[in-house]
Amino acid sequence: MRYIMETYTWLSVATSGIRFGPDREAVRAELQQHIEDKAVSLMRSFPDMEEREAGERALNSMGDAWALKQELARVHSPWLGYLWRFTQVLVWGTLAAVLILILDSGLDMAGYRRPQEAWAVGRALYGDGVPDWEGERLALLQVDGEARLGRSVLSVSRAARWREPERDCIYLRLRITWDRPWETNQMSINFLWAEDDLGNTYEINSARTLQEGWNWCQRDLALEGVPPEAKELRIHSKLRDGLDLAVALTREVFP
Amino acid sequence: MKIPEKAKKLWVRLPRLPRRWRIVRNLAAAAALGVLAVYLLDWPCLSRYGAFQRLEGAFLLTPSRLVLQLEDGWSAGYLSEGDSWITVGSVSIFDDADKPLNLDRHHAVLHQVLPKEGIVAVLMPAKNEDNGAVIAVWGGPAEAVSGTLELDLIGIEDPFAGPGRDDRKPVQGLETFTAQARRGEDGWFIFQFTPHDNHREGQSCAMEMLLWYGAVFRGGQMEQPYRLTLIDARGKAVAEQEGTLPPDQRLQQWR
Repeated sequence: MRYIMETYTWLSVATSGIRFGPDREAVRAELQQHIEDKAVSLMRSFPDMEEREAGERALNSMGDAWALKQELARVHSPWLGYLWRFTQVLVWGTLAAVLILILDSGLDMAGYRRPQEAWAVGRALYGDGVPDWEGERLALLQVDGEARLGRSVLSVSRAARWREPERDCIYLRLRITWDRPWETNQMSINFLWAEDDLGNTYEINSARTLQEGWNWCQRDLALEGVPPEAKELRIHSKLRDGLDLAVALTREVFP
Repeated sequence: MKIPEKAKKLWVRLPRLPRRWRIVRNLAAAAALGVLAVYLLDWPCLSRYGAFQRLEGAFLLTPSRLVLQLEDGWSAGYLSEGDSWITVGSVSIFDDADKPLNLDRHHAVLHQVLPKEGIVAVLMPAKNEDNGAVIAVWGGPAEAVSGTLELDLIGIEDPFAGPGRDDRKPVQGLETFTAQARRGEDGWFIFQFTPHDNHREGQSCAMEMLLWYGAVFRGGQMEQPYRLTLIDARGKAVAEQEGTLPPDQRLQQWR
């Protein structure tokens, strides 16, 4: 019993210099295991030795608890431990905040379906998809216009001439990408207009699809009544000067 | 819930990172979750001017320079200019701005985006320290150093009118206000108006009524007639303009 109390006291003294609790417990368990292993080893070497005596000898061989305390306190800085604990709290806290926000806003399943619909319409407009509206593609155009305006980039990546029952039109895939995702705004496309090289102007107010990402928005715009002779379109802003996005209409890649 | 033994064994067999790397891992996870939380919060904006700047960016009106700001309790008015345009906006604080967790209570509106052409006069959507209106004027001949602006207010509705609330009414007919200003180093004339204080008991000044709601103007209220005279250093009139203050465009960011 006395040997057990001495071991307990020795371990308490030796580890009392470690200020970070979980480290203190881990070192204490390791030292205790070490003492027990030594005692077992002694009893194996000297079969006549009693367990109490082996334990006392093992404990004595561990040295001065006070000296060890100072050494362990020096090695085990508490700040790394506190920082680790803090980051754990941070992770769980932000995870909880995310879950609360998801529950608060709800999962918009319609929002997940929309990109698929837009993708299907895009395939019909510029690829080999089948349109779910009346109309026929007259030509597929290769376009690659891009222009920077302030903290955003406007680009046109696809275009096609279409004939629909009520109109002939050119579809343009126009995307605006903002440097700052919090400025993303679908409405800004409504404030663009276009002109062709023949001097005709076009309102941009009709679109077949509408998509939005974390820092971009994109529409497949329909420009009505662009004559086949027009070789170029230029897109401008109604709100300001400085935007002159040129889109060549001469490169037909697929009739 | 009891964790299956297989999972426990797998957990034990996973390689243990040193504490420093666990801190790095936790910080990276917290940062990623933090960005996700901010995204779910719809990128909350914690300052009024920040909300105005964000709306400028959303409508591709960057880079810009702040010319004037008026802060008045729950709303603030901002005037900024870019290379070719002038922007007037306001930011109001609402108890419920319909944003996640109601953390961001700022509601920003761009009242006008105007081209820098000729002489431009705009009404700031906030009160000055005298409870009066502020009109900013850009342009005019380079030799103009000061100016006089007369503002007529007609048909301003009484926000208190209604059953049991008809004890105070705006002045019937026309009220005219006059202010003078010198051209600032940035080229702008800032005309500060003061409400009339000679009204009879029970009558309100049209200017106080106009700005009562801060930036929430009713239809047509911003479009008020004015007469501007710009004067050179010798006191000679170098420009005169009669016009109507521009209408409220109410550009907002919809999500």
